[in-house]
Formats: sequence, structure tokens, C-alpha cells
Amino acid sequence: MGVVETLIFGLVTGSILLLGTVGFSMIRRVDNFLNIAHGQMVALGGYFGYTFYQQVGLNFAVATIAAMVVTGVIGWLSYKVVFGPIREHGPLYLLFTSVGLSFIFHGLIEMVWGTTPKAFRLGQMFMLEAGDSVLASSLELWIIGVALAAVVVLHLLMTRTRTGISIRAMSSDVNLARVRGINIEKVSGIVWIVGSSLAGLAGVLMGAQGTVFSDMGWSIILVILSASVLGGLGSIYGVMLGAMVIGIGMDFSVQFINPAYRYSVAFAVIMIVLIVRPQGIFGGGTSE
Amino acid sequence: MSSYLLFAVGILILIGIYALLTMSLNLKFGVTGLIDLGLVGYFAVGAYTYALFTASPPGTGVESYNIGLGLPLWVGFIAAALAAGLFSFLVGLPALRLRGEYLAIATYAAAEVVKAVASNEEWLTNGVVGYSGLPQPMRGAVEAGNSYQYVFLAIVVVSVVVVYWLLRRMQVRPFGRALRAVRESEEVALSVGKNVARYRMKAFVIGGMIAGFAGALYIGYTTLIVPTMFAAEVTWTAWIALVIGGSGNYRGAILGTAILLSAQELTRFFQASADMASLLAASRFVAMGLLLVVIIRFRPRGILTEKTESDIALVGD
Repeated sequence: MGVVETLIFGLVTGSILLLGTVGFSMIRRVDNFLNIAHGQMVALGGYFGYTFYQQVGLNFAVATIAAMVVTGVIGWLSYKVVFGPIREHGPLYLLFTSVGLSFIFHGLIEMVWGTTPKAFRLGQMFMLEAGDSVLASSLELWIIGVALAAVVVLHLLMTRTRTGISIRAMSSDVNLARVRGINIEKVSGIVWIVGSSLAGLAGVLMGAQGTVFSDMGWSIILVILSASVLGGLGSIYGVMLGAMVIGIGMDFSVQFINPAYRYSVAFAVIMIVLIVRPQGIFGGGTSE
Repeated sequence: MSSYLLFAVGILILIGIYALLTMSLNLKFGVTGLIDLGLVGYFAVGAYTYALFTASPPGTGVESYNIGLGLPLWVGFIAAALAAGLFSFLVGLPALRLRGEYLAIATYAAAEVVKAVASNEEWLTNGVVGYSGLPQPMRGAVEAGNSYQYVFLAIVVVSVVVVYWLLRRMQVRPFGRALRAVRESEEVALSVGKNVARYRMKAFVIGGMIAGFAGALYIGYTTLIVPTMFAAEVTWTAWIALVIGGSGNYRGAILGTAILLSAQELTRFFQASADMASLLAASRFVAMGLLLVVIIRFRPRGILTEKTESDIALVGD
């Protein structure tokens, strides 16, 4: 592949990763723990998207939105039923609970959809061509567009709305936010719905690009962790950039090293960033 | 009847091997406070070292692998522990400068790299094919094939007892107290002149060596090794066992492992058709997850909690 194709491919990977990582980072900001189950939200989004599109026969856009709604609801429920009640136990217990929840979702996915990977059959697509090489498919252009739109909408949400301002207040000091009359429960709930439905969107797009598979949640969470460490765990804009850098970096690395080490590149990035700049490259440095 | 007995012996062997891993985690997290999500990495390094050291030299049979030193098995076990210790040291050198969840992410990443190397470096690990038919310790001790299970169980039990004894001794010594001081407050430990970084590294390397030994023992039991055996699930199993049993307590680590693995293995008792079998396999993930979520919700400190200093003084040697 030439440089332009690789760059576009990297942008697509980065865009999907961005959608998957933003919610993880928002949850980290307001509820202060690493939600490993976020990877399973991506997987669930992919599988629900597959069912709505391939089995129910909905239009792709409608199927995508339906999958986002379902994952948003599942995310909200997991917050209400599982994480909310044990919040006072602290971040480590929340982290392990999210691991437990990941196993539950992983098991349920295998029970419902089995272990064989599923592919979306999208049919003929428009191809953007330059000379005699194909630069990008319409799906890929859509993915980049959707990610851009998500960035703009999130930016407006964070800066222009009461909810966004509350999210920022909560992430700098929960107690102070509560004293100032911010409804912590409600703001957290919104973050879980938005974050989980974006993860679901990432899952559908990943599936449409390749396949959905039962271990997907575990493999994507590692890349999400890499992207968020690179961006600075709780910094939403940093994480967006981190996701793009990891996505493009992984796809470019294939030019120099064995493709099987594509993910290892992301982990090597984590190690280097953590050692050189633990607060992340772009992050203003939240907590230790 | 004897098949049930053999089944039980098989479960006990697995419990013993995982108990070693959970105890190593207790040294790192329960005692010293290091959040290590990369346990399977040291386990894998130990397992592969054992395989490379003890496999018969290539070229003698139909084997496709490159490296097989054909050394005595005890050399393999010692090499496994040492290699895992060395690997822990190399990971710890950069990673132990990190705290809390950042250490967790770094160790998680290190273990994934180990798995990627195991699958892709065919010259070293024979890739996805791996090794099979590896030699087992004290295989010649009994004639009949089935009774060997009991011999292996004895080896595992002795290993667990010895490691438990060593770790408990460490716990009541000044070294163990220093580790707990590091966990409770690094500043205080520093202020009384403890070299915090060195204590953290020691706990990390000793824990890694135990995990590496457990890996070798596991391969000695299965007699084969492939990269898929080293998924993150191994790490989570030890963590879940520790949370169930009670972090900070070595007996809790063993008890938690026993409860978790028995619960998992008992599902194998259900006779099932092919369709149901895959459903049952998936339901084991659900059961494991539910157990963890419910224990944290209702008994966050585990079944056996950490003993206070005075309790330890009473039972100490």
C-alpha cells in the first residue's frame, strides 16, 4: 500500500478507535475508574448491529442507530444496577467489578451469537479512486465523517450545555460539584448513555469494516487503554488525538514490522509514554 | 467410581497450580499493593522456558521445533523460575516507577506483548503449533498411566505447601512488615529509612518467579504448550480468586482459588449435547463474572480477611 492509502486506512482505524475511547475517557473522568467492560460495549454494539442489519434486515443507518440505543441502555443499566451501588468502595473495586461484568457480557455474547465471527454483507460500495488505485470506500469516508461529527457534537456538549459544564465540574472535584447543586447521579447517567452508545457505534463500524468476533471486547479494550494513556487518561480532547495517533501508528507500523505485532506497537507506545510522561502527551495531567 | 476420583484429582492439581499464581499475586497486591494485571506474562515465560529446556533435541523425531535442550526436568523448573524473575525485573525496571492504575495498564500491556511474541516468533516458540509430548516429572515412579495423576498431585501439593511456608515466613519477618508499610504509605516507609523502590522490586521479582514456576508446573501437567493457553483469562482467574478469598491473606488466596475453580470445573459434570456444550462453556464466563460482581457487592474484603499484626504474632514461628 502507498502512503496515501495507509494514511486513509489509519484515519479510519483512528476514527473508530476515537468513538470507542471517548466514552471510556468520559466515564473515567466522572466516575474515576477504568471501565474494562467498555470494550464489551463495543462488542455488543457490533453484534446488535449485525442482528439488526443482517438478520432483521433494517437499513444500515437505522440498524446502526438501533444498536447505539441498545448499547446506551445497557450501559445506563450497568451503571444503575452494578456500578452506582458500590461507588464508595473505590476505583479498584469498580475496576474489578467491570472485569466481572466483562466476563458476563462475553459469556452472554457467546451464548446468543456463538463463537464463529460474523461479517456484514454491505454490498457494492462507491469507491474513491485516484488513477488506478482505490483510496477509500464510501463506508470508510462515512466512518471518518461520523467521527468528525461526533467530535464537534461532543465539543458543543462539553462547552455549551449545562450537562457539559457539570461533567467538567465533576471531573475536577466531585464533592465541590455536589455542593454547588449539580445532580451527580443524573450527570453520570448521561455520561454512561452517551459513552456506551458511542462504543456501540464503534462496534458497528468495526464490524462493517471487518468482522465481529466474541473476543472483540477484550482486544479492543487494550487499544482503548493505549489511546487513553497516550492522550492522558481523563482528558477528552487528548484522548481523541491519542486515538488518531494510535490508529495511524498501528497501520503505518505494518510497513516496517510483522503485522502480527500491530497491537504490540500500541502497547509499546503505552510503556514509553507512561515512563516519559505519565500524565499523557496531550493531557494536562489529572491524578496519579 | 475411579473416574470420578481421577476427575477430582485433576481439579485438585489445577487448584494447586492456580493457588501458586494467586499466592504470588497476594505477595504483589495483597501485601505490597502492586496492581499487576500481567500475571500471565510471567506464567508464560516460565512455561516456555521449561518447554525449551526440557524438550528432547530436535531432529530425533518428527518434531518441527528448533530448540530443545533435553536437560533434566529439575533444571527446567529452576530455569523457569529464574527466567520469569529476570523478565519481571526487566518489566519492573520501567513499570514500577508507575503507581496504581498506570502500573496496571503497563503490566497488562507487557503480558500481551509476551503472548504476541509466543505466537509469532516461530524460531523460538514454534509459533501456534507449540510443543507437545513434553516430559513429566517423576513419570517413571509408577507403571500404570492413571496412577501418575496421584504422583503429580503430590508434587503440586508439596510445591504449594513449600511456597505457602516461604511466603508466610517472609510475612512475619521484617521484610514482610516493610512490604506492608510500603503498601500503606510510601512516605512513612521512606521516612523510616526503607528503600521503597527496592522493596517493591523484590516483591515484584519474587512474585514473578513463583508465577514462572507455576507456569512450568502447568506445562509439566499438560505436556503441551501453545500460545492460546496464555490469554488474559489466566490473570483474571487469579485476581478473582484473590478477591473471593480475601486479599492480604495467603490462606484466603488458596481458599478463593479452590472455590472459583471447583465452581468452574463442576459445570463439566453436566452431560450435554454438542449444542448445549458450547452454551455451557459460555455460561462458565457468566458464572465467573457473576461470582466476582456479587462478592465485591456484598463481601468486598473477601471471605478471609487480612490478619492484623497481633494475630500474626500469635501464630508466627
